[in-house]
Amino acid sequence: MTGLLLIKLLRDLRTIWGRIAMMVLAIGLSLVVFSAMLYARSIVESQETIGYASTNPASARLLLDPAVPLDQMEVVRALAQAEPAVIDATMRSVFSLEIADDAAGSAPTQLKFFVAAPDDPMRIARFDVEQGSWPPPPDGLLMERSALAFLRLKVGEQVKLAGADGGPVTLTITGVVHDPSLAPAYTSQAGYGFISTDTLPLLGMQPSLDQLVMTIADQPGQVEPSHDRDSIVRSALNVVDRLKALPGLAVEEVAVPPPYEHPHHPQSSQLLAALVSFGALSLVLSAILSATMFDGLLAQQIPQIGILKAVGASSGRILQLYLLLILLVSGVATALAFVPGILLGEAQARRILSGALNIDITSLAVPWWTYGSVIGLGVGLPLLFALAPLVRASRRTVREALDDRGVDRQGVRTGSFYAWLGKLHGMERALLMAFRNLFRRRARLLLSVGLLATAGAIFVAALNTMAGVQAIPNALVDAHRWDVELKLATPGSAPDLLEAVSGVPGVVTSEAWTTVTTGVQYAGQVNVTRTYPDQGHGSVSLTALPLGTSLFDPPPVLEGRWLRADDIDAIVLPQTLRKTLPGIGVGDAIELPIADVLTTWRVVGIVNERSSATCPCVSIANFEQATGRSRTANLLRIATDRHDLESRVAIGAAAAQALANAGIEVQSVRPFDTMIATTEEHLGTLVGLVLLFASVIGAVGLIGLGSMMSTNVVERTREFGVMSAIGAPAFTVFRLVAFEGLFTAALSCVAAALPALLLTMLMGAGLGNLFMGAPVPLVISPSAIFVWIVIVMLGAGLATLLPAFRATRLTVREALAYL
Amino acid sequence: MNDLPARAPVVELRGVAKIYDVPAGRFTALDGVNLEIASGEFVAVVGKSGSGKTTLLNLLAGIDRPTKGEVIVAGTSMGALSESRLAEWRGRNVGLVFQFFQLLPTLTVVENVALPMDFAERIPRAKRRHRALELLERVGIRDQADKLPNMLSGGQQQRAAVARALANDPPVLLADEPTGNLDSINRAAVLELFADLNADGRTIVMVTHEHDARAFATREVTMVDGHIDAMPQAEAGDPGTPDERL
Repeated sequence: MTGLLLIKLLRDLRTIWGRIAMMVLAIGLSLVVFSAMLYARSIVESQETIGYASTNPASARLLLDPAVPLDQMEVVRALAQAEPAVIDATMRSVFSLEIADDAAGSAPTQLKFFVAAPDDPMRIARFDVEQGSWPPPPDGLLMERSALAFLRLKVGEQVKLAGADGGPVTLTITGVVHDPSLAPAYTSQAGYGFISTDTLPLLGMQPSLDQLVMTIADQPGQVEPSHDRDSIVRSALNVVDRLKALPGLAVEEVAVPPPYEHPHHPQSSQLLAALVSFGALSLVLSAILSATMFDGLLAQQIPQIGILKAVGASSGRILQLYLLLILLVSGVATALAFVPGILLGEAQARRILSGALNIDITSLAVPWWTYGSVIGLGVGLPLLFALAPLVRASRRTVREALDDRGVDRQGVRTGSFYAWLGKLHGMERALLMAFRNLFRRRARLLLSVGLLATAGAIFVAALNTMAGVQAIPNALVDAHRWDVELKLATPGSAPDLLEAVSGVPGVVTSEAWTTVTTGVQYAGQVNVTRTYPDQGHGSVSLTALPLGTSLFDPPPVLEGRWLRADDIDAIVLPQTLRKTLPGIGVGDAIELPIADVLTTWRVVGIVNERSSATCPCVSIANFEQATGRSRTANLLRIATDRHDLESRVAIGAAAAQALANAGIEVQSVRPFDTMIATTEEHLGTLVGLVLLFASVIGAVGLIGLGSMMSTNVVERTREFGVMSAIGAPAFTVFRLVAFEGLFTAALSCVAAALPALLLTMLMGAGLGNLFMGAPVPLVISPSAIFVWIVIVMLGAGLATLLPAFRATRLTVREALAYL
Repeated sequence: MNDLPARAPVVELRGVAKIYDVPAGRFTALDGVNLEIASGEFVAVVGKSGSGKTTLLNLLAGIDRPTKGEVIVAGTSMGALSESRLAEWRGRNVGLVFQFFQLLPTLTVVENVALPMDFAERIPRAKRRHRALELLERVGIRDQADKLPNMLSGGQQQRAAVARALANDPPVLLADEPTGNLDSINRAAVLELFADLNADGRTIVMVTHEHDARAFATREVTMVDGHIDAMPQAEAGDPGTPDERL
């Protein structure tokens, strides 16, 4: 690179600063998103591991029946410690009670209690006491930090509960703990309290504990808990065998969550992977965009390349010159994106760690390779995509370069196509020229249309996915036809329930259902689950419904069939349950403990249900047969004559009063709107994410269109001069340029149609499975298509406005002398 | 200027043909052209449009390659050179002047003149600007040195282009319609400049179809349909003096 070439480069940059700025903006914008997601992923993964491991979580928990009294715990613990791979063992308990002072009309809030003996050394499943001290007094509890915020409570305030025996209990919040192994309270819609066994009698329970929690190593003598779940399960089952020495003590469940993995790790990991992929996609798109723009810049420079070669510059020197240009562009974009990327990444990491994982950040450090990757990709990717046009331009012969008039060699061979266009009657000449001009630089046209089409396809697919997500509540409305749900404190006689509400004004139909919380396991096996200490995983709500229900449409069946009247022990499972029971299929038998009865069911179907699911479902007849209950129900679903929230609340309250008058205690009244609101709230993150996707991609696409039109005008300056010289008015030149922009935009819309459909399906499947365990319903949103068409056509108009205006301002002399 | 044996042929074309593939088929621009130009000659290549004048000049400059035959300029057969070697060779041995000046718009006049020196690396870096200014002095636009090309008149731009062509003191100057875009005053001035350069012993090949331009040449080569129909005005190697020609 000679000094004069460097001077030329810098002065060229000054003359094309607008397009250079757009290239820097496109690359920079995408790089900020990509690097932020990469940094966030790196920070979250490292902090999640550190935070979760800091609690020394149990490798395995054995759920015992009956619970072990305090004076016998040491015996159980000693048996566990006798297993060579067991590092440490202690006894704990987890159970839930309902907070008694819930406002009417909202879902009852559960408070999960984590119980330990007062003298527990707190080596396993430990937590940080941030305020107050452990153990709390018998009438007090320590509240998990995120639960305090969720329940809007403060230290010193009292919590009113319905005790295990149904009686009212009041506990005082005496302190705050932080337990990074628990998901934030709002995500599980429950509070977390930490109490000692001294508090249990106050809650109407015996001072006993029913969980043997252990840390387990790979080999005897090792002090680091195993990373191998299979090895942990083997040792835990050995402990189960050892406990057989204690007559009357049964192991109900062996809970072995994935080692060293936070309960929300799969979601956070997949979410971040999706975000990084999206960032990478937008980076690739902007690199293609900058290659397109660079190709345009080179087109403008081609005659100058010819001159440089004519006065002795080799291809290598030309290559160096323009390599430096693209390096400068990508380097500046990378430098500008560096700090915003870090800041956004840190903000995103904080959001995920505190919002989704309940983990405090101790360090924002990321490995050096992530910085290296960002710099490497930021600088290297645009260079990589620009290399082909660059090499091609630098290898042009002097004659090719000096003779360049902006037409592909193939372009002049399309005589018949051009001639056919000319024969179209009524086609305005400016339109005709604009259409022909489109095909002058076919490679660039392809790149520009491809870029816009890609942006359009992603934009439309993202909005389609959003429409699909927003359709989920509507689908719930379609499938669930009740307006109000009344949950009873205790099961009651189904005919009595129906009779009690039949006379309530506004009630059109009512049905008596039953819903019970249970666990799922394969028949005849020790129940080895992946359940975490919060017992959020592996627990299942079973619904027993009347087969002739008019208030619920069976969801789409993926395998097998729906329930039938001639079934004996049939159960239909949602496909989301396959996370808990991998490989479960039609024909398999499962056991569900319901109250004190262990019931056995045969899977007859797998259905496609998203969040807020009704299934697993059984028929009321089969349920009564299996449990020995007869004509009882704990859930009343009512269809009302009006469907607004106010009417639903009013009719629900009247129904509750009618039941109370009949001596039936109602625990909660939920209008259907609450269910929809909850679902919409949960899907909010997903919608926001998808919108972010669409916005960034849309911006990159429009920058591309603007740059392409600007390049096209600059490249044909001389041609516009000729047109003016032969009498073309300025408006004709303006229209010519504007038509070209609009044609390009229209072509891209056509090209985007099929990819948009495929991407919608892919995105819906990916995001749906990630967040809801089932694909987002396929919705083609006409408004999404319309919005993109408007954006792209308006964008094309605006993008061509300035270059077209510039073209009209050129004098004939300027245009003809243009180099 | 490079030292070449006096009156030795500095340009030789042996059986040169150039055929282009065009949408209408194959177009023969040159067919069996043989030509020798001695050192110090000022040759005017004339002919009608499409007769092959510019093609001939492009072959001499290494801008184009012959389909058949051999082109030897300044002792180098150009057929064997790669594009990059050809560019280097051109920078050292040939000065090119175009009809539309072809100055780089973002470099000043003096920088445009110095640029070929950077490529050829024959002249020490410290002396390049000085030499460029000397050349601008020679062509009479020293005072325009630090302006951008678009601030100059057409005649001044063409003088700058001539100065650039002389940057590396090439033995051969090739000019394609150098006065075709100039008014009569500037046209005469540029032709006088060429005559002066030729008087200094520089070989010049100029494509033109202007009659007054021919008067400055020592020999006229007429192209007709890709063939040479040469009617020398003077003996090769006897260019005479500019005054005689004027």
